[in-house]
Amino acid sequence: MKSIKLILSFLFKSKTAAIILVFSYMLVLFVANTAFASYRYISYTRDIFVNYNSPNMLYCAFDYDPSEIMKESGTDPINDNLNRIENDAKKYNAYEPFLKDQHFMCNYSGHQIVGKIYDKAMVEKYPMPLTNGTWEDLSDKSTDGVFTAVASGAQFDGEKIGNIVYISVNSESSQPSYIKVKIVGKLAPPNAVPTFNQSGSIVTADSMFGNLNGLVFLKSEELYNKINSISKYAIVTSGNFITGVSSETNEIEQEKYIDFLKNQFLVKSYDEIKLESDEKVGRELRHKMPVPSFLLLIVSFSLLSISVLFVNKNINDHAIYFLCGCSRKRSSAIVACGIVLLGAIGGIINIIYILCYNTLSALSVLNIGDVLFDGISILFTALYLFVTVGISVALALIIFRKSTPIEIYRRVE
Amino acid sequence: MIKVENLIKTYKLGKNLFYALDDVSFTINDGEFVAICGTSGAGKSTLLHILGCLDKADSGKYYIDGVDVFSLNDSKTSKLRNQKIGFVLQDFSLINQKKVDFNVMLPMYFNKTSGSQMKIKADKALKAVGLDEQQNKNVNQLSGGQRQRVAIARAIVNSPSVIFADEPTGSLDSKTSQSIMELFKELNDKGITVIIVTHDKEIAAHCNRLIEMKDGKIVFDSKNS
Repeated sequence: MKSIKLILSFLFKSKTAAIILVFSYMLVLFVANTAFASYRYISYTRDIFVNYNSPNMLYCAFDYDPSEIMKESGTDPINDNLNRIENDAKKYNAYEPFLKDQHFMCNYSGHQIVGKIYDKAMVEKYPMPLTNGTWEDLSDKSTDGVFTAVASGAQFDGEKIGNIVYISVNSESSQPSYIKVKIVGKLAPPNAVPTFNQSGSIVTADSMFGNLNGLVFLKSEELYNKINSISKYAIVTSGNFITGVSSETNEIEQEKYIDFLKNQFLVKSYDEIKLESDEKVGRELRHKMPVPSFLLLIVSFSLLSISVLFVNKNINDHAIYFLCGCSRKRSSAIVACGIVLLGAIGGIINIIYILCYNTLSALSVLNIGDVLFDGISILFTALYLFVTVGISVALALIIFRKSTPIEIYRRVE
Repeated sequence: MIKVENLIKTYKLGKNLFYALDDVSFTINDGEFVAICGTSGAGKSTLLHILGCLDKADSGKYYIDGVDVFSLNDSKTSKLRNQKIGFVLQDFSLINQKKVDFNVMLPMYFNKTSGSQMKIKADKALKAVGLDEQQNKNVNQLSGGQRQRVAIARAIVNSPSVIFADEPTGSLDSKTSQSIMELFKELNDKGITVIIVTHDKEIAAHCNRLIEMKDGKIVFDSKNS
């Protein structure tokens, strides 16, 4: 307690400078961490996509206004439309199944989550990294009315593999109905799953994935029937999907199939998406990182200068402490702790922010878009803190120890 | 008891070596009230800094209550300075932006005195110097005489064996100087050894023993005369 008072006394010699520095350090680290996390997400999704190594993959997006389709009757007109087109596509030898992105909204422990429904082929061809469990345990068959799912998001942090949870789907009668789900796996951060929202002339890997707070199910008649029995309108299908050209056909057949798809959709190949993704990663690095890097440099020099300022402001006080029986070692420790505190407050708050972001995002308290916060983010923050604070402490101590108390007293005389 | 033997302290001035202390030896017993006098540059303050464990001599021996001070490391010397020595300096050496009670409690920040005991001891020290109503004032709100009393309170708060005062009345008027010297006399009557460095013979006259210095040497000691 006594030492804390002396350390705070060291800092409060110039309260305003201390508060401004702490606040700036924290803010700049926050900006840098967010920019870095955003860049890492784009880079991560690009890497996931490249690792799929699926040169025959085609991404198909709406080339028309989907609201026209929505006017049609039926519980899921987009899905019905895609099924009609797929039936026509089956006539082509190079046809491969359409892998769609479907979801339904549900509730878990009072929070709204998303239930994603994927084809088995989607999960097999394009699996996402898991921290626990395995995709093999995800089944399209229920056991005693219990469906299997992979969990994603911080709200499932307390659940273990094998736990059974209850999710509720709002029915037309506004009475929720429950589905029993067994958790067989947990997605690794940043909890990104295929989400086909992107349309347009440029399609990049990061836009093909989206952060999921919810559960991933395998498509099955049983699951459809269960959900439809609660609400016919619960399941929503994205108008975009992925397919492929069969490698067992010749080029002419493949071209015919691709032309058929191009008549209906905007089509992007795996190579085109890979190229555009690489360009985006480079662009993000050039555009997103310079400003935060510059700010980090500025705040580092600020910490260095203000550390020296604090030492000079406190040197006479420490001569008095020496008079009162404080050893030079202890004085140096007070100076060092004071400077560490200046940087540590901002650094620790940032580390807490990184640790809590996924939870806060899952609870819809905080959402800054698609970002990747993990151990590397914490390591970067800790390393930056260590280097900047370390150098500031070293310089401050060099200056502090240059002036001995006896020299100060001789100067006064 | 304070005992110094053959103290030598030198400073380099260009190519020459300046002897601030040149073979100084004496003994001060417990409870003495000593004035160390001399003109400017005689070596008084250098001697005080060494006696107060703020500095070390180049050679010689120095004992406080039998402890060889020069053999101690920085931590042990600081502990000795904290527990056995109190300082009163000409410029008061107080932290002006802080309150009176913080300044008086300062030595107790560097020993094991508990928080509650710190307050009690500080109040007792302030009462001893006649400032028991001033705890919550900032030091820069006090007069010169009051600040010196705060410095004395700080010097006695840990119940030291000896108080070293370097020109304690140098910044004060004659009336205030008189009251400060009376305070030192009171402390000495309670058994604290008081050693005052001064160039002022009138101030030195308050003391029981006079040591005169010139050019780093002791030229007169009233104990031996």
